[in-house]
Amino acid sequence: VARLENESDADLLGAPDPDGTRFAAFYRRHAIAILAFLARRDVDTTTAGDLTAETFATALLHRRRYEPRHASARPWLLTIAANKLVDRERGRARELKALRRLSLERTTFTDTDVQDYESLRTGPATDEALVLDALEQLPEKQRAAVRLRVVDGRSYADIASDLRLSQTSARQNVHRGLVRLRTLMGGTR
Amino acid sequence: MTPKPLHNFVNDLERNLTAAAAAEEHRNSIQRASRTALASPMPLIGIGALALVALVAIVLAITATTGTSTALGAPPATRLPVTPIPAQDATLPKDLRNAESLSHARSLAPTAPGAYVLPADGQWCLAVPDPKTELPTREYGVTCAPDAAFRRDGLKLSLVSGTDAATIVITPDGDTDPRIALANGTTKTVPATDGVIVVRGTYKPNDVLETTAADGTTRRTSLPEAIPTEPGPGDLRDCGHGRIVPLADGCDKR
Repeated sequence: VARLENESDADLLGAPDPDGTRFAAFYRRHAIAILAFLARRDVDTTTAGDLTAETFATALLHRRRYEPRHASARPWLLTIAANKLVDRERGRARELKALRRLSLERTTFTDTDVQDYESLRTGPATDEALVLDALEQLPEKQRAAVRLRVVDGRSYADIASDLRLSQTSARQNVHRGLVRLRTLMGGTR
Repeated sequence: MTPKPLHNFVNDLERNLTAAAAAEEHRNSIQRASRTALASPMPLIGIGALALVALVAIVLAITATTGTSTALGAPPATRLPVTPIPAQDATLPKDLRNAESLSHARSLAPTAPGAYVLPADGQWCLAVPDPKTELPTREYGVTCAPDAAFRRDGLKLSLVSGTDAATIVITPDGDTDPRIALANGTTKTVPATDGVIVVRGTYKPNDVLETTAADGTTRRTSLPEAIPTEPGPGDLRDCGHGRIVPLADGCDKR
């Protein structure tokens, strides 16, 4: 177990995992961060349980598609969780689809868990959760451009194509989005 | 030692995920083995993990239903400027992630933003990004055809989610006058740029996309029908611990 705890996220997701212990180590590394992210979005406990399970089930189904551009897979996971949350809020039918595909039983909170979860609402936010909160406040084009550039690692040419912008405009949107993010998060510039 | 927050939930979910990960690995190893056993070339070499409920890639070569068309050369889309795809685009199917394919890709933007046509081991492939993926990274639906079939019939790929759909068609060389012919007898002209046609929306069963092939025959291509996304009366919900209930009841109802 200790050996797995030292492995990178890319190794935990990419290497053969016949008994599921690598994915379990990956889950342990990030589970509380995902729950904390949801708690700070005022998500109730039942929904938080479902969305956390669904987020990791989606990550499991797509583990080979993880691109190790960053040292941690947490931004990738948080973006999946944020997408799931948006889907849920919009009442889309695809909720819990990954759980169904894996025939995964739903996991529920015990009374003790509920108390712990409530403390996550009021505890300090993770840096990643703060960034995602701030990201949501950006104008749509800037948000999309920053996500594509920073989270997905896309080239400016790709971003321009996806968002139907010139490359210059794509760069401007990324730059302005990052400047605004710093401001929203209390930075100096 | 500080108690682990949400100890029960976290441990229960870990047990479930560990078992699911092991089962998924087992399933994948079986799929890999069966793919290895297939010796004949497959027209479909991969579909990106299109992550939506009811999002499917319908992959069909375009079929000529009237006469036999004679293509003049390679489809015009293959003459578009080469736009190499970044080698790190790990979301493309593995078969397409080789230097030869990536460096000879042609972008279909702006007609079909994000889509590419690219060669792959004696075949030509159409790769279209899934606009509704749940992942932060881009995912592609991909269809391929051997070079001769591609020249003769072109390629088509539809992405469908409920009543929302996009169909991308690469026509063979010499095809003209693209139009949608509805089952009620009306037709509607659709634009084609460099032999690339994008048709949005879902259609009724006998609605088709038509083009006039170089030999004057009519080439007909089916268009996607809507896929129901609302749960039906017979759908069930798994509440865990072996308890399955009608979806309408929900897990709270006892």
